[in-house]
Parts: sequence; C-alpha cells; structure tokens
Amino acid sequence: MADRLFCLALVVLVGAFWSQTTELPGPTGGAALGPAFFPRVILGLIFGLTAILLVRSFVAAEQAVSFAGFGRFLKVHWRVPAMVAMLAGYVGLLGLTGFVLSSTIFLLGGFALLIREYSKPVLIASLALATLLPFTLNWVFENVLRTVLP
Amino acid sequence: MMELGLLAAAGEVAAPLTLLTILIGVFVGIIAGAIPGFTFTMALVLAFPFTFAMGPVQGLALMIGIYIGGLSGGLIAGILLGIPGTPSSVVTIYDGYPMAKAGEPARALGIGIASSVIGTLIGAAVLFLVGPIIGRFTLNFGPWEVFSLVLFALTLVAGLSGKHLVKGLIAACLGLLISTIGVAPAGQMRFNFDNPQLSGGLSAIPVLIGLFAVSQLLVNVEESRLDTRPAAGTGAPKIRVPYAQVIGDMWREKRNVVRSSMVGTFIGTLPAAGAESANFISYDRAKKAEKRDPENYGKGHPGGIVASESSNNAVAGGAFIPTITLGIPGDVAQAVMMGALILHGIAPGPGLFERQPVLVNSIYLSIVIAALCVLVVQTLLLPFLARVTLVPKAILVPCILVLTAVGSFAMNNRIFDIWVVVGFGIIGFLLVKLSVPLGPMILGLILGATLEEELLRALQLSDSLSTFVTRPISLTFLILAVGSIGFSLYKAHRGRKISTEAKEPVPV
Repeated sequence: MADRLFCLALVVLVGAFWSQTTELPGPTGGAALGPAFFPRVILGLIFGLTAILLVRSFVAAEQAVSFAGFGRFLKVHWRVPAMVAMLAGYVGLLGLTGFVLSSTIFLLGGFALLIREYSKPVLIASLALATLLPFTLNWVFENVLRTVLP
Repeated sequence: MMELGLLAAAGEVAAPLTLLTILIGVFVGIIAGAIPGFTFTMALVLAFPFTFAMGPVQGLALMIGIYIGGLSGGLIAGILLGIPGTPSSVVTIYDGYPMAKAGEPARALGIGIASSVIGTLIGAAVLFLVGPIIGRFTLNFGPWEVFSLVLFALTLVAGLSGKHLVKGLIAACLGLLISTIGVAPAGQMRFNFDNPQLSGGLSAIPVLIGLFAVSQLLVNVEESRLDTRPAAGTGAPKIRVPYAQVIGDMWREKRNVVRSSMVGTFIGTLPAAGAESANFISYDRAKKAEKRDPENYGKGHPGGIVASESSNNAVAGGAFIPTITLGIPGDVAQAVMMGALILHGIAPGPGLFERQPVLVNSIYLSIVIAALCVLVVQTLLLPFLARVTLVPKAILVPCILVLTAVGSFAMNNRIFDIWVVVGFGIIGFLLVKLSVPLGPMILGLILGATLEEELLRALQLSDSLSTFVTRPISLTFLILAVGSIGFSLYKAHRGRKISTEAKEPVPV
C-alpha cells in the first residue's frame, strides 16, 4: 500500500513538472535542444519506473512496503511528528524573534520532548546548552564567518 | 610541473591556519564517528557552510580532516560498547569488543588506531601514484565520454545501493530532476512554479542537509536511542594504550595491514562499494590467510581489528581517485566534498590535474596530515573520546538541528533555505521508510547539471546520437552501464529465488 501511495505521489510530481515543460521555449541561440528536452527524458524515465514499481506492488505484494503499521507508528513514535512540528515552528519563529531567542526556545522545547529521565547533570547540561549554544553560534557566524543571522 | 605543484601545495597546507583546520576537522570527524547513530557524512554536510569563508585548499582540508577522522572514529564505540559508531566499523566489533571484554580495551583501541593511520597512509600513497595516470588518460574525454561515464556511475550506484533496484533508479532520476530546477544551461528559467525563491534553483547544500542530516536525526528520534543514562556496565573505562604491545601486534600483522589496505583502496575506487564492503572482504581474506590461530578470529584476534580498520581507512585514498580524476563521487561523503569544490568554482574531473595542480597535491598532503592528526588526537584524547560515546542523543539531536538551520541559512542568507532543509528532511525520512536509497538521489543532484550540459555539448558538436556508440571509450561506459543494470537484475532475481527455495518445505 505504501509503495502504491509512493507511485501516486510520483505520478502527481511527473504531471506537475511535465505541465511546466509545455510552457518552456524551444531551442535558442543555435542550441541543438530546448530547455524542456532533458527534464522530459528524466520525467519519462520516472514515469516508466513508477509503472514497474506499481505493477510489482500488485504482482509481488510480499516485497512491497506495507502501510499497515502507520497508526501504531504514530502512537509509539509520536515524538517524530512532534519534532517535525517543532522544527517548522522554529523556522517560522526565526524570522520573527531572531536567531538567538528562537534557538533557545527550540532547544528548551527539544530537550523537554526528548529527554525521558532527568538527572542533575543532564538538567544542567541541557540548560547550559540552550542558553550558550545560540549565543556562541551567533558570535562565530557574525565575527568569524561574517554572516549576519536573522 | 608536478614537483612545483607539490611544493606549492606543501606551502599552502603547512600554513598554520590550514594545519589547525585539519586538526579541528579530524577532531570533529572522530567525535561524529564515535557517537553511534551520527555519521561523519552528517558532520561533513554540516561543516559545508563553514567552508564558505575559506579558500578552496583550506575548505577541502577541513572536509578531508572530518572524512579521515570520521572513518577512524567509529572504532571507539565499536570496541568499547560493541555498537559500531559508523557502518564501516561493524567488522571491528567482531574482535575489538571481545578483546575489550577480556580486559584489554586499550590494546584493542591501540591496534585500531595504528591500523587506521597505516591504512590511510597506504591509500594516500596509491592515490598519489595512480591518480595522475588516470588524470592524464581522462584528457582524451570529450562530452560523449563524460556523459556516458556519468550515466554509468548513476546506474552503478542505483544498482548497488540495495536490493531495490527500481527504487534506486527512481531516486537517481529524482536527484536529476531536482538539479533541473532553476536556470537551464542556455539561460532560460524553468520549474520555478511562479515562486521567485526557486528562480535560482534549489541549492544542493540545503537539500543535502535535509536528506542526510535531518532525516537521520528523525530516525534517531524514532529509534528511541535517546536514553540519558548509559546502560549498566558500559561506562567508559580508564584507558592507557600499551604502546610496546601494540607495536608488537602490528609487526606480527604487517602482511595483513598491507593486504587489507590495498583491498580497501581498490574497493574505494568503485562507486557505491564503500568502506562497509571493504572491511568485510578484508576480514574474510585475513582470516583465510591466518596460519597460526584462525580459530581465534571473532574472539579477540588482533588480526581482525587490523583487517577492518586498515581497509576502511584506506578507502579514503581510493575514493578520491574517481572524484578528482573523473568527477564521479563514489559515495555521499565524496559528493559533499565535490560540492564544496564546485562552490569554490573548481570542477573536479578530466583536466583537474592540469588546471589545479596545487589543489590536487594539497589533497594528498591533507590526507597524510589528517592521518597523523588521527594518531595524535585519538592517542592523547582517548579517555575523553571514550566518554563522548556516552553523550545522550536526547541532548545532541536538538543541538544538531539548530546547526542544520544556521548552516543552511548561511549559504544565501535566506530563511527559504531552512524550509528546504525541513522539507527535504521529511522527504528523506519518508523515503528511508519506503526503502528508497538516498545515495543515488544525492549523486543525481550533484551530477545532474554535468549530465545535461555534456549531453547538449555532445549534440551541438555532432547532432547524431550514434557518436555515443562509435567512440570506443563512450561505448565502453555505456556497455558498463547496461551491464551494471543487468547484474543488479540478476542479483535481485537470484536473491528472490534463494528466498523462495528457503520457504519451500523440505521433502521428507
């Protein structure tokens, strides 16, 4: 089932890119081929390989990747989507509050999400990292690498 | 010319700042390799943005330091914890862990470090001797040969990257497709989907960081290897290397170390084969060649550690041969280093030896210096490094995610690149779950522009496709490409047949 969903996603991707190639101009400036030629070859190959994968997901179903345990996966490994959501929130916050503050918040949140058993050294290390790492990185990038962070 | 290049390179690499850069790289690489679940490839990807402010030689020196240090760093966790720090140190556990459990962890670590250093030096020597010969040969390559060679590399990597050939090929094609986003070779805009941020295309680095670093971190979160306390009995022991005993062990295994290093170097030259294959093959060869006590292999035999560690480090020298002579990175680590060179306006591949003799020679020298740094850092800091393997990943994961964000931002100073990292991190994680190999995708992304440009150049010089098969070298690469696909199909078919036979009931 998961392989079939993957195939579906690939077909949508191929369709989206192919429709864009129809808007591209033909060869210019003495070029043998236009800008659409190479991507179309790639898209054709992806489509052909997707068809093979789709057929195999029916013919050799036991080799296909199963979708059966997805619900259980989310229940057991809820920290994975939670971490992705936190990461997205962090990127959103970067532009609003700047690198140092948003990174400190993200680190504190990340530690709270992932650390399961707190001990005194772990607590001290995590708090120290959450405050010192963003400042240190900011200093290195601004003063050594000459890159101004948001 | 060669001697002048070597002298000039020595001047650049011996500069105090470059030496310090190599030392830092080695230290970072060893730590990345020592922590199970984190890889030196991830460290390489994360270090990429720091090379922006450096010159090409210094930037490459940093990456070589991480690469060499990382190849060796895996042995620490393998020997002390029985958990391979990197996939390439799996075989080290066979004898290193039993030796450590038998009360000789320092001896096992000493043998591992010595073998790593000797393996790296032998690999570098082969690169120094063989590289220029292949480099001269590639001067005969036109666009037809380069196109066919890239095609061969892509099929080889897709085919060898696992049992899922079709998915490997799809991954390679997806990488090629991503490389077409942005400005076409003739200057037209394509696939920007009316988003001005996509007009310049997707930078390879945020995509690499997302696919390899973020997806791996999410796998770490999933695998719940995040305990903040080490398991009972796995605390870092007190370590002092018994130098005389280690020197004696290495002397007894002198043939083994040379043989395993040569095997590692050869396998390193093959795209996609990598250090993981090299140490299995070397271990097998060492065990078969052992006359005195082959039955002790797997129970703490020094020869097992020597075979594994010398071969997986010798891979470095071999892996640079296709990267700098042909422009074909053999693995993801090489692809990242190639990306760093491209960022500095240097195109690896045919003609590099003539165009950039100083840079090429600085690669040899950086490998040698990095090997010596591995010896110094690992010997002096062994007690500290042994503790690093116990750092809880629950603390490391958020910190590394912050590094991925800041590193991707630094390239173009735009938050859009961090979104690319997050997006490709999720895509990479899902692809791993779907058993789609990520290696071919990265190779496709790095080589996509070359493949398209060489195809267009070839067709501009001769509008007939038949030229690809009438030129002998090009034809050879095309035959090899077809052969690699055929071999992968045969392997997959044989694997299915064996598993079917295994399932059938045995007649009574």
